[in-house]
Amino acid sequence: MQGITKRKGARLNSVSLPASVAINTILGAFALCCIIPFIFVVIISFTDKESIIANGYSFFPSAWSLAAYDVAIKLGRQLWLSYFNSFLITVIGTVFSVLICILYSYGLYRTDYKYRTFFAFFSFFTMMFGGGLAPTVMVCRNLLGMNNNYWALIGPLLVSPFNFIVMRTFFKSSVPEEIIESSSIDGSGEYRTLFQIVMPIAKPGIATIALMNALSYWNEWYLSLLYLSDSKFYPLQYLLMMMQRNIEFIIKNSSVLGKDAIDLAANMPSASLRMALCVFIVVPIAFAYPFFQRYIVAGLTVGSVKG
Amino acid sequence: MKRLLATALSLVLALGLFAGCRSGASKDVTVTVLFHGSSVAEDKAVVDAANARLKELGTGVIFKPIWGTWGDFDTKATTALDTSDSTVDVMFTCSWSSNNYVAYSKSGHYVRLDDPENNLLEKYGTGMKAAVPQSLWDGFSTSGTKGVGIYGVPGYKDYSQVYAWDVNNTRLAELGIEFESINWDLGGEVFYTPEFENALKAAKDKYGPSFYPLIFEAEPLARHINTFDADSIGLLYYDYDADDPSKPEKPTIVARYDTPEYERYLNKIYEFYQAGYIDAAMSNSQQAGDARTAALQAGNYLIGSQTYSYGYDLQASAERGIDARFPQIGKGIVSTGSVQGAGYAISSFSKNPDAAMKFLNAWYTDQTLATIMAYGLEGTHYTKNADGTVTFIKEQRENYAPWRNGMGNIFILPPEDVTGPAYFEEFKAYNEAGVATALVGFTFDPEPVRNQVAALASVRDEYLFSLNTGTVDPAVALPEFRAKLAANGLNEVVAETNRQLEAFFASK
Repeated sequence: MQGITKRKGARLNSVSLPASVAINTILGAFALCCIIPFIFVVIISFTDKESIIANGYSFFPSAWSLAAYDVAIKLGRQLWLSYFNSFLITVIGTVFSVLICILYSYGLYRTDYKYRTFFAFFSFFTMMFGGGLAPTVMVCRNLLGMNNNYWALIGPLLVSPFNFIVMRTFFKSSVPEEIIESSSIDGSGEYRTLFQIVMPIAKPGIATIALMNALSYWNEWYLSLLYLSDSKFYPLQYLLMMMQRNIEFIIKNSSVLGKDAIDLAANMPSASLRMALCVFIVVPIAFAYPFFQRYIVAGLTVGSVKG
Repeated sequence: MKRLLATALSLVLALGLFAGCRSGASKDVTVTVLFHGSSVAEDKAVVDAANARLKELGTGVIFKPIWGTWGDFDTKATTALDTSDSTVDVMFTCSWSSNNYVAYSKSGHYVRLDDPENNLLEKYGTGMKAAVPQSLWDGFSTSGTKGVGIYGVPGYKDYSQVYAWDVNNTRLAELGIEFESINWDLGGEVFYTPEFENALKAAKDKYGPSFYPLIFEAEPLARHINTFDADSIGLLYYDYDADDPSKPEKPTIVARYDTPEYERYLNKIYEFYQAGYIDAAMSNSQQAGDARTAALQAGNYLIGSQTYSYGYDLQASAERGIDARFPQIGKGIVSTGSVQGAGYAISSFSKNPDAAMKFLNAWYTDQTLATIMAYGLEGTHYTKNADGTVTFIKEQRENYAPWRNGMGNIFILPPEDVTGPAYFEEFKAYNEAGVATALVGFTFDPEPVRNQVAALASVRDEYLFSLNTGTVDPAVALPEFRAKLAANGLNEVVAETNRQLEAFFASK
């Protein structure tokens, strides 16, 4: 960034002014592409229902309204319950999935661990070959008891072989083996080495994995569809997804349902309500980014072996 | 290896123990039922009341619902069937959901109810057998893994399907046009008459540019030109005689979008769109539903289209605050689709098919139980009127609103106040006036041409809304559409359908 204000060539590693302008423009445009749809969602959520019917979606609606939020709040118990469920599975799920990821990938990283090739293959294999939907559901539901409980929402995402590989690579590139050696010479046990020496160095990697896991827990809805039939476990994302799918279904099948479809469609939540729920969903997780970002940016500058 | 074997064995033991405990815990058997299209937030009181009634009836069954919604039913139902889920005993099934009645009977996922070796229908379902008309049982006869027979209980609702125009007579009167001056008896043909067009024009002139007199979903209006669906994605049709839908006796099926009738319809609708009679939102699949519903509910239309159901005139007029009329297009039709429009099947993986059948029989024959399940509790969800009708208490009803047409035998329910006390009697007469087409009992099995059907469905989705609402010029888009359909194997699908149809007639 400072390269722009300084004279060309004044700083080591700085790019030329035109290149800097070009890079900033491209990245700026990209950032805009990402943020504009969301701003649009927020605007629609505040748009008056009549205005949507009359003019369609618009950045500058003719009338504003808080009605959608009013209705959303009035969803009452289910909304707050779903909010709670989303938070619960995200927090618990992220903590445990990150812990499992660290433990597994640390094992894979340690060259003195005898069975590392086997366990590397063991996890990698599941990335290549899956059992398919029906067997997976049968195992999860009948054997692992994932049926109408929080476990069904947390369990299936706990172990991610892809994250193991990312994490192992991160350990390899940022934690030199010499550190492990010197720790053991200084009398550090295995647990101390992992939790007090390796983990602080690997913070950026852990933060990245944690962010990815938190996102996937927060956005998960398909598991709810497969394993839940009791609405008290529904996470927020599923609540929204279900509204969306209900509406789509009725539009698609209106010719079969006939007059029923009209009655049903009249009771469906409006577009602005759906957008309001979308805002409910996005806002908390958006606040998680800056928190994790601190570690991710720090990761670029952190080092362990000096000199 | 030994250790592994030991673990596996102990696991089997533990599971066996668990299963043993479950069946020994209670004498009453729990029957879990998966419903479609429900909007239920709070059901404890209702389920308790239903179970109290089941106890009174001495069925020995405890009822437990899973309230599938419009959006999640298909996944829930097919997942349960495909994963041999024994926790779902009874589920909704029909011709238009993913757990298709015919297909899943054929694959052995549903219990044959009139199995000669274990005739559940005879054992526990005699009351139900009498309560539902024979024509529905006939329509539910299908060829499954255990031979031709009944694999599900038909939902007893409207099974005669009528297409109708949806006319806002309040506005028509405001324009000074007599309802009778338009010859509605022409059915679909009225669309091409000058009177029809003049009414649209007069409305457009009077109510200004933001008023769209012609309002409809893309699909049904195309049907109004005297075509009839023969498959679930609306690609094929057979042309029936509007005066006697049962003729011809041995029809052949042709591709709907290749017909000159379709071209004629498109040319007219394009003209109407150009004249500003149709809202552009109708061509957008995302907005069409919302826009249509909003316009209908507010009475902001002159003529629309509707799959009519008996008594809808009164209901629509009351809801919209206008004089809504529904001139029928042709006679009522009884087709495979309308007969198999709803039903309940017992899953082959159910551990208690006998109890499930007992439950279904009680539900289909006992008015008290059926009313509790469909309407909720008296005083909480509805109040009873002196004439036998019910009035819903809106705030509570919102928390418990199953889809009524999916609630088994709806003819034993008390009628709603808006439709009047004689509603169901009149409804029955109306149902019986429907004429069965020659295709009743035939269901197209897309399996042999499944890739083509999937490809064609996406081609159709690409063009359907814009073409059928007149937003694109048919002179350009129709040839394109037809070429794409042909390129994606339309002819193979037509040939396969006719082959299946011939086999169907041969087996009759």
